[in-house]
Amino acid sequence: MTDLAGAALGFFLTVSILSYLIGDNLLFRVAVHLLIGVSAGYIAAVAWNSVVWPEFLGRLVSLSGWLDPGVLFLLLLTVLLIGRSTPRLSILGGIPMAFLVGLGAAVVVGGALTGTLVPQLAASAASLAPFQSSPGPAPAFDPWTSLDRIIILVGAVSTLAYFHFGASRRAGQPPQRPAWVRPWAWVGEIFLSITFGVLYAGALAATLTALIERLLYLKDVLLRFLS
Amino acid sequence: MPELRCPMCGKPNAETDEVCAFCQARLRPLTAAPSGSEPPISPSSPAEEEASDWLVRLRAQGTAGEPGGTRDLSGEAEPLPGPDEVPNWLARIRARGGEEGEATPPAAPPPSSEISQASPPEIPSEARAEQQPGETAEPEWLKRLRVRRTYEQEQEPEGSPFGTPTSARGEELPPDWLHVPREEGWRAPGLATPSEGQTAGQPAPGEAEAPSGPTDETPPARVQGPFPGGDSFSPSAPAMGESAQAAGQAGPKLPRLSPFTQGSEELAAEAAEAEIPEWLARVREVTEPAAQGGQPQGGQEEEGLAGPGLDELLAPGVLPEWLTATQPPANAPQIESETEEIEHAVLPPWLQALRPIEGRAVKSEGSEEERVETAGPLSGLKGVLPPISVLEKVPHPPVQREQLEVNPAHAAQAELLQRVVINPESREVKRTERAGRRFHSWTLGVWALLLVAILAPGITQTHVFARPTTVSVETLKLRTAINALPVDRPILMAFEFDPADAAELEAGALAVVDQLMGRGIPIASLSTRPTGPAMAADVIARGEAAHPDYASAGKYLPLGYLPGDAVGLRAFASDPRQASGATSSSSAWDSPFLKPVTSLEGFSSIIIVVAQPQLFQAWIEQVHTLHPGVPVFAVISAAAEPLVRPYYESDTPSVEGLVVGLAGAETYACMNSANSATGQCGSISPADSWWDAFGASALTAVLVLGVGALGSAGIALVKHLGEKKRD
Repeated sequence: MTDLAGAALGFFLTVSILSYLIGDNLLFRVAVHLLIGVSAGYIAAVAWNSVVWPEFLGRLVSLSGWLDPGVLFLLLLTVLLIGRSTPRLSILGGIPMAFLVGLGAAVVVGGALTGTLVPQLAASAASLAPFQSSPGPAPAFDPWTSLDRIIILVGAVSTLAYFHFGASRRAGQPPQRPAWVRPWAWVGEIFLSITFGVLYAGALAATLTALIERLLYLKDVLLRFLS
Repeated sequence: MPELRCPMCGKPNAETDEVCAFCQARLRPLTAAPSGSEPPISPSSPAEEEASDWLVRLRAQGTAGEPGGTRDLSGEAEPLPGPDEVPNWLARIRARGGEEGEATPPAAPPPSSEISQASPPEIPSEARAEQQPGETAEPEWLKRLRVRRTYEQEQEPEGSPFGTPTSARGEELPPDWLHVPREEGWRAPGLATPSEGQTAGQPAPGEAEAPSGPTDETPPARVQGPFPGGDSFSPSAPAMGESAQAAGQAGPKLPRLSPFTQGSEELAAEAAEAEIPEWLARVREVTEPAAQGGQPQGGQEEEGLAGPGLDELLAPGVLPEWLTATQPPANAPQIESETEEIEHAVLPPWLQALRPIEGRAVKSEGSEEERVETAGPLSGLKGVLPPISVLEKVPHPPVQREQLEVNPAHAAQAELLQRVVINPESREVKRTERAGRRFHSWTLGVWALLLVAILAPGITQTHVFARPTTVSVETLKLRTAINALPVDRPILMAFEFDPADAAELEAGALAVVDQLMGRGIPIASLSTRPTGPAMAADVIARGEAAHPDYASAGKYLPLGYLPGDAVGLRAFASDPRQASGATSSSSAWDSPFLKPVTSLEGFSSIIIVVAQPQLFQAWIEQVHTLHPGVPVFAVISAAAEPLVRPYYESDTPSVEGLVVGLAGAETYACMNSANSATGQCGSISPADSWWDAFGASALTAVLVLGVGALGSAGIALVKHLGEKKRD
């Protein structure tokens, strides 16, 4: 019975969301408000059960928690953060905010450098020679790998050139890019178009998969009710 | 011979010189003359009689040398204090000065030529004596004006028809402010300093005796300055009191005003007459008969100095052209016609586009009829308030339409904006109608096509689209790596997706979990998304449904939600037990599979199920960089593949295997259930049941996109050809 009720509720909400095909309507609004409300409640419940109580308030119940400097530091930051609720004490809330933003920026920037930027630069800085090292006595002739790396080089340079927005002024004419940048920017535009096309294709495939899952779910529920 | 240095040019001069022989600057400073150097003012003058008693007393005190008396503003020095009142230091200085004065002979008066060149227009004592009675009745500005006119007349050379400008001779006409000290303080050289040994009542060279009697009634006499053209001021020159006789005798020698100067003098005199206030007119009426009676020759002199009139001046050939051009405009229309003939400058187009709209000056309202106020507190007053406010009188600047370059697109937008501003309600109604029509025509058509493409394969039970026959390398690597994992070490699975992405990712995650459970590898789940634990529980539950023995063994280890995003991941990579110990259930870390795990190295590998590339990057940047020895695999959405694949394609890949989208899930599920003998896919997975629908809908979407692109291109081409034909 519970499974049937859940299936019926899922069917109703799915149809309500899909009713946006005919425009904004009451069913769509009800479904959206319900989705947002349930999501917020669920996230709050998870935060309370996973973070707030076990990591902070639950530890303050015992005396050992009050002796823990980590817990006291959390308490201090929390009290200061509550100060942001009033304009007079809002300056105190800047301390925990600065702590969070500064710590997060340091962690993210450091990880981006070591995990993404440097490895990607190293991967792009490859030899363009068609002869690759091989276990044999002579290097192997691999033109496709060389062509692949040439395409990577041209794509990287031309894409960077496309985002070069420096322009020189001339009397009576609109600002124009330097002459040597214009062909590179044109090539970069092509690479960007291909990239965005691939991204759109991936997004379309993911969306179609979600739609297929929902429509087949409706079909199954209908067949279950009909049978 | 002792020299006297000029304070201006610094050149040496004779000690006896009064003025510098090089720059004509005065060598000795002017000092106040003693009280007896000038003849005392007659107390019986009419001006004195008209003065009040207190002024008479004050003047009497000043002349009598009484201490505390008022200072004579006429330039006469105050009486020196008596010997008893003088301090010692001043007495010594006086005694010394007296000795030196007796030792040195009196300085000779400077040459008259030098005086005429260097000294400013001087007022002879006669003139001063004649002026004094008039000072009480004549304002100061009139005295300055008369002094200025006299100076200008006497500076004119005799031979030039127009007169040489004073500036041409290096003698600039002194400004008005210089007249005041000259009139008040300058004297003849003989009267200037008492050190020259002149005594009271002894006339200095060039100074005539003051006329007696009716001079009090005479109008202010003209100041006789140095004669131009080499005629220097000499003692024999006629003094002011004798000006009429001197003018009659030495008529040809007198400097005659040039015609131009004389004409301008007449114009200036007319203007001055118009500006004379009433009180001055009354004074003139009183003083003119006396002047005519006392100095009848003065009028003749002025007539003789009058010269040609204005008509002669304006005759052609008399004045130069440039001087004639500066004449006041005869009438305004003539000027306008002349200005219209001026050729306008040619501005470039870009400058014309930037040029602001031309404004016009506000016309003067002085010529308009003044309005009489009829109401309010100003009732009855005339011309108090302007008839029309100034702002209303400002003319609107002309709009130069020809300078605007409006293309059709801008014109259409402007028209639309105007329509919206005028009638906004109609715009809203039209928008709703258009939206409704669009929904009913194109959108519903596309949705109907997709609906048919998705449902038709399932309803008809047809398999139009073949299963993938080739397995991608990245997917095969993941499968191979899982097959090589140890069974006693747990694997960490990160479920980083929301329910919206569950359809695509759950298929791939379920295929991987199916393999893991088939091999009996413990699975620890973690998520930095609040909805992640629920997604993990759903996937694990579906996997355990296919592997009941796995559920009973308790090999699923949910570590729950990891807060903090990148910071939390960094903390988990540093110390996983501390970072997620409290948030996870106590049984997870107490299980025998997780007890030996003290660091991230305790996990055999990491599998990230992620829909957004940013979350995948966070795992790579925060966790993999800290523990590169732990292999990382990923089950990703098709939308995230373009941004995740570079981590796999690089020479030192951060991720060693991938399962991408529904196609990767179908391939992986097929490999899991493949018959080793025939190589055919075995059991039907969720991805397998959706494969035909996915193929049909993707084909439909591509067709719709292609048709739409071709249709748009065709419409654009037709429009372009139509515009070409019209052009």
